Amino acid sequence: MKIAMVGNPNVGKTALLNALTGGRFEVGNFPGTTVEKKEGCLKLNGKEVVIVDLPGVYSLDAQTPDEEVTRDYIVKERPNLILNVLNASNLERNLYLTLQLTKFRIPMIVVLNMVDEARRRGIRINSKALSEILGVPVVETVAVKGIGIDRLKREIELGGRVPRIEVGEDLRERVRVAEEIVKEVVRAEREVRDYTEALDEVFMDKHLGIPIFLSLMWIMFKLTYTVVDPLTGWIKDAFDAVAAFISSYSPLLGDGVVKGVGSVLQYVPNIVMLFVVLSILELSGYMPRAVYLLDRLVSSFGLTGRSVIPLIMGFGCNVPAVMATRAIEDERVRIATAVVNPFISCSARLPIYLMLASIFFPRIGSVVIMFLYVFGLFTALFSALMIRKTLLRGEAEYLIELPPYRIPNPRDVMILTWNRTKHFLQKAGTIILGMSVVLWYIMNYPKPGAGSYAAIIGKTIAPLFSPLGWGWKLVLSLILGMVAKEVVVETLTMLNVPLSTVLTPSQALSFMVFTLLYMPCLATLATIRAEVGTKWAAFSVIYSLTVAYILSLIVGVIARSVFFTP
Amino acid sequence: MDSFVLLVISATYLKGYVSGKASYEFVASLLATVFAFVCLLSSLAKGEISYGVFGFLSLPLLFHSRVRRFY
Repeated sequence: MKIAMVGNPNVGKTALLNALTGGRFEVGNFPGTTVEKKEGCLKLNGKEVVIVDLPGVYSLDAQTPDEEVTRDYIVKERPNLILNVLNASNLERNLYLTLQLTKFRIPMIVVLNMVDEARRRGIRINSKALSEILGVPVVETVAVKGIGIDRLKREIELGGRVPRIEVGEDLRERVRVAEEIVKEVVRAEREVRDYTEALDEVFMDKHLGIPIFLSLMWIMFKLTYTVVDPLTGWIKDAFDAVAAFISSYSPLLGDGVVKGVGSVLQYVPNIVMLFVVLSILELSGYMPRAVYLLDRLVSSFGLTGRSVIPLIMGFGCNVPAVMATRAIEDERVRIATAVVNPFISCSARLPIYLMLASIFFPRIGSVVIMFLYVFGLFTALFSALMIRKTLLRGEAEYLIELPPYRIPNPRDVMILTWNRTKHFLQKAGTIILGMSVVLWYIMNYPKPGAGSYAAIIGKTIAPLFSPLGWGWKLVLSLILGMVAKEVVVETLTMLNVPLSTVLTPSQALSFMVFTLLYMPCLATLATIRAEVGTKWAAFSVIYSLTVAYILSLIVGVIARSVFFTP
Repeated sequence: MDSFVLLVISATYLKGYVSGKASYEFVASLLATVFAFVCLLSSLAKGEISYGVFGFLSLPLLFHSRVRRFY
């Protein structure tokens, strides 16, 4: 039996899939978390049921890639049952899609999710009356708490029913019918002041919004940098001891693999902490507001509300973030968002900041790291503005759907954190490990030291970076870091670069800015190519290298003349 | 930056007091409590006491404003 889960964005479809199947799929508190269909399996009375979670859509008009995925699945695959998930707090708008689904004449179950939130807002829905009007079973659920899931499973066993009414494609007709249904089944019990509205009053305050955002960012980086610092030190010491022990037997394993991989893995506690805080901010619904605030601060950047989600996702990893641009309707905005996304500082860059900040800015390390994150975000927004004003001109409507505030579910925080950390660990076990072997080889052949391939490559390209004052070893780390940004740290560690003597604090800051902005890693580049084409992938490389070079030069000069003596 | 956070917390309380809106009081107390918790962890990690830990004093206000539910 095949079941398609269809609904508007951010109505809790993935949370419902997790509740039904015991899955560990990532959920989010913003529209557009799911851009590809996800499958989960459920056993009901010995029968295997496949549940397909389709991207959230407002209609099936196939105007965006995610609408196309959802529509194609229903038309071509003809599932045995449609689970239409609705947000109980916003029944009327959700019903537009429900009514459009009736034309397929496929058995359906309507799931009224998040009924607890609706009740808190003073909204009561007569689900029995709704069931009678639509002619399909209606089940009330709170997916994140597992409420109503048993009843839903029983209804799935019964197979749902083909809707009694059929409205079809005409939007005006659907709106009229939805209004009539809402009049029949919804009862507003009392006027309740919405807590989302009350909190928005403060978090989006004209004067306090940005200072509160900066305070939260500071708290995040204080946790990421200072609080877990002892753990990082212990892991580093452990890897150093193991590397020293093994290198006496096998230099390749000790000085190559263990030292190289360890140099990256020592920052796992920092990365886990960053992901925990980011997940809490995302799931609470605060993050889209933060991006909206920044956008309001520096007027419009030519992006749309749907660009906000890929920008936020970029803080974790740029690959899924670029994929998330599929939900953007406007092609020009979609390209601009994908191209500027690599400027958002992903977790792979954090080890570089942590390593350099601990050496050059031990007392203000968190401030420097926070500066880099905000700097990356502003560079992305200004780049989007430039691209939209020149190469991809045209008006785009700025509409953003801000999700309600929610207390994050610890399980969801854990899943989100683990999935992101797993990606980092997988990279350490594959790309970083592979690169440690490559690095060890090019450092020691044809002869170690100045005659090695590493030195030849580094010294050949180093003159290009002489205005920035970086030696060949630093330049080599940047070249190899194009594969994956963590490789920069790995290279610097394996080459035993005495950073405190070869760099001044201002040069270190400009180096960090360069690593923040210079070209996307190979995986991101491949994703940009797949999403928006080869031409834009090539543009992304050239543009980001140019921006990185110019801005790191400027930051270096400013840092030298204003903040630091050398 | 710690002083900046404290300034923001004070400003949020002040705006809540002037406008008479409990939502400002709630957010300021929430921010103060979270900041106090982070400062406590930071103090344990670095062995230095940070004045941010006094944010725990806002806990009663946090509960008070939550009970009032922003009316």
